[in-house]
Amino acid sequence: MTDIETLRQVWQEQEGADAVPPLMREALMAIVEKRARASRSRVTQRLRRELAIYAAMTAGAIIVLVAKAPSDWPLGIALLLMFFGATGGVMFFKIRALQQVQLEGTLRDSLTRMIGIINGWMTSYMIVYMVVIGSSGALVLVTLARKWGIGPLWWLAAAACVSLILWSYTSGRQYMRREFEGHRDELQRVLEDLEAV
Amino acid sequence: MNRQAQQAEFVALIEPHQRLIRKVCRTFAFTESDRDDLFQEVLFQLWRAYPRFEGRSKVTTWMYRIAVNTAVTLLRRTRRLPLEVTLDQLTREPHSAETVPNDDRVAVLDAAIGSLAPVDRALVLLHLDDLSYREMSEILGVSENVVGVRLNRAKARLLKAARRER
Repeated sequence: MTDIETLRQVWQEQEGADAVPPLMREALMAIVEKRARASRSRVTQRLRRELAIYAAMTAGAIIVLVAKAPSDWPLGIALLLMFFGATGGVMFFKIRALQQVQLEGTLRDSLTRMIGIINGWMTSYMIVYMVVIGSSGALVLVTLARKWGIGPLWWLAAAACVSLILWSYTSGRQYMRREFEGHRDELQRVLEDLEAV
Repeated sequence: MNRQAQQAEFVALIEPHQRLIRKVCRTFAFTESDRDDLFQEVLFQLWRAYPRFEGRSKVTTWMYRIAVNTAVTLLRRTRRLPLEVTLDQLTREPHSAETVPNDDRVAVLDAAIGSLAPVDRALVLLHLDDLSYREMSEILGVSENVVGVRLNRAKARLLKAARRER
């Protein structure tokens, strides 16, 4: 096993020794259908999870609206729902792009495309996440300003909102790292390796 | 074309080359369950890509591209699925234990390939399968010169790993 021809011989002998029975159309299509269903379900599961996180984040703003501005809350909730619709749309298309990446190009093309999609998803996620947090905070502060005026209590609430936004940014980055950066970095390393001479 | 006819055409296209998919799985996955998972994912990706296949490249080049791309870029993020449909069910006759040679040399070769980086693994796979530099270049997306240089290094690493594994 000390030269490449011996290795090639071992490789081809092994391949020749393995009986490869013919594929059955029904079983093959059952696999394809199962994978397609699993792929669709991953898209909806992730979307549901993301929207549940945003719903939890905006719950505070809705409670403040209902409690402090009973006459304005329908408008506030309508704005939040509109925002949810837009957020859901962005998330849906980004998650679907990640699931439906086309792999028939060269390895280099596929790696580049996949890295681009992951980067695009990470950027969209952070933007949507921060806009949800920021607009919820702004809604709370506007509501409180109209009820209390801008006094010490309002400043306290503003400080709490800023802290929440900073914490959310850090936790959002951590989530990105955990979910996507490892995979993106791994693909990047393979791409760099492929391009290195 | 109706769906059944399209499915039959797809099966007829990939059936003569299914060994190719198995070889990619053997190169990039090292447990039976991972190989089954990768095999199924490659079939799924081939089916998804099939409507866009226009026959401009050879069927085998197209299949190698999708199989290698799936193995390198996608498998890690794909959640493991329960293997309700296994390879044995997929084929008319299950593998028999006698057909799998129990050869230490095969284990050494598999371990040596497994120790390589993904790009080297892909190069070694394509080389062991007798593909030309041009075909490797079409699959990987680098020039033939780069293929030549990289392949020499990959072969050296493979031999070194094989000697270590012996």
